[in-house]
Amino acid sequence: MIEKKMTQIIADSGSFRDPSGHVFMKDGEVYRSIFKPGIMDFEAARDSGVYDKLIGRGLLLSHQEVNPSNLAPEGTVYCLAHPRLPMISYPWEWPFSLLKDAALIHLDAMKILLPLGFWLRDASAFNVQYEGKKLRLIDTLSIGRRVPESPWVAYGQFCSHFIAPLAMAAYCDVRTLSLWRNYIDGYPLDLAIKLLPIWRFLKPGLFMHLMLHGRFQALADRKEDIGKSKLLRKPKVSDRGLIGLISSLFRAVDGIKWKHPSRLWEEYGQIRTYMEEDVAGKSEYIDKIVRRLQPKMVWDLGSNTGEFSLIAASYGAFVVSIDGDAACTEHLYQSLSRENGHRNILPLTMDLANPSPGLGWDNCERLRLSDRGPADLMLALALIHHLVLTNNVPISLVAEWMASIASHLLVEFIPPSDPMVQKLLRNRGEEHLPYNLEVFQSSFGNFFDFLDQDILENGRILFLCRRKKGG
Amino acid sequence: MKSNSILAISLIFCCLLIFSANTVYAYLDPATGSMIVQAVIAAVAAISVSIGIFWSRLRSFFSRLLGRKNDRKENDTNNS
Repeated sequence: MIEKKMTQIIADSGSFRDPSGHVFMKDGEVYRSIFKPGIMDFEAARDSGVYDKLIGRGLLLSHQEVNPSNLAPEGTVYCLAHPRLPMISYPWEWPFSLLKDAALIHLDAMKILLPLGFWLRDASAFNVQYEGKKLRLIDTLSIGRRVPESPWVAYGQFCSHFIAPLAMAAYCDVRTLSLWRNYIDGYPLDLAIKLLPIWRFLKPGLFMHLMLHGRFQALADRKEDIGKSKLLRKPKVSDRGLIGLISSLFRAVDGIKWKHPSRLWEEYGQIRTYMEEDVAGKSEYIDKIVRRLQPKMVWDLGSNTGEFSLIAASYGAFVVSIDGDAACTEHLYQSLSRENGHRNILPLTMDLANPSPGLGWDNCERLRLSDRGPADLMLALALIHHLVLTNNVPISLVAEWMASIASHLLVEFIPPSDPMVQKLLRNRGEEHLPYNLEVFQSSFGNFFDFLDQDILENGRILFLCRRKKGG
Repeated sequence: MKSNSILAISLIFCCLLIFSANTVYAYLDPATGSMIVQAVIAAVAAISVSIGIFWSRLRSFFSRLLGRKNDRKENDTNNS
């Protein structure tokens, strides 16, 4: 983990923007310091039961007030203990519907807070995380007393963190979600206006919250630049108006729908039929291994639609299912949402040859993927041949990277004669990195001990490996 | 595009007439343009909510009125 040590206290590298308080870790537990600027809002929310209400509705991460003496950094007035989240994830990795749910959870909270005289002081996508089976707002200090008759301070942030990326993903291309990596403070509205087809602004929600909003921002910026901003400042918003604004945002978000291509599912259906026996054999073996190891944290790399993630989750593991295809992760997220409550599965979209880097201030504010481990078990099924033959990553580097994250690895080797490998090699001749069982075993053998193996009917081999001690 | 600019500018003048000064302090910059546009949207939303409330009250008033008349008619027919 990239964190800064302060004696025994480890400051969270992503929690420094809000002067009201910061998150830190001590002895493996997660705490939140509340400093002087945040105490009024905290006391008001605590004493009026606002936190209890939001936690009770499942919208906010729970906390327990603890004695800050001998525990928290200097200047801490109050200290809260939070449950530890299984995995931090970021919007550039989320399926479309997860980002949409993250937007809706903000609006649900606002609907509860406004009648009580409170609101959210910010509306950042980074404030939403998975706590086991449910999405929650994790920043307790986002809740503040509403400034009477004031506009919502987080409205601009909400539109650039949610409405712009959702609209661009749904109506330009879902791959535009990766633009988050560049715009970690939210998408510029003028970019969304430029890229979205003009007729999409016939939707009233997008017209108001993107088009009109973007134009007003540009106009106000110009006025401010030439020093004529006084007249444009500080409008008033009534209580009824604010509730209307939240309803309008809710309708706008709810109305953004990504219709992912159904053709993809037909293709998957064909592949599945072709490999039915292979899938059955693999499932059986994975079931056996997961039951034996009882891992708490499983990373399923190249998870496809999450078939094997579901097996791991059925034994109580928290599973991070990573796939490069946004349609796959969306399919998994939606199928989990349809069930009664999510299972312990977090689907993430990522090209494993280019995993999430460290981003934000000093490249430490948002952690790179490998800093968010460790995993007790990593599944790498039908993956290695893609990394080696499509992305040209040597097997030894793949093995080293996997050993840096996982203590156990269940990896599939697909022989060069397999039709799937032949398909990748059909235009390559001999001009590719070495790929055979010998190279595979020697590369992985440098970092792992082979514990077990299972040869499937079609010749593919599953290896169960344990990271070498001291590795 | 031009008509949108005209609409945006006319809405700014409208909201300047409607809204007066108020101070907002936040660690997050609320952005002047975002505050103005939401004030305009909120004003329109507040008006539509008010119209909605007025309309539903009007409907319930008339339905009560008609309901009473109907009740009276029913009572009259039952008594006769």
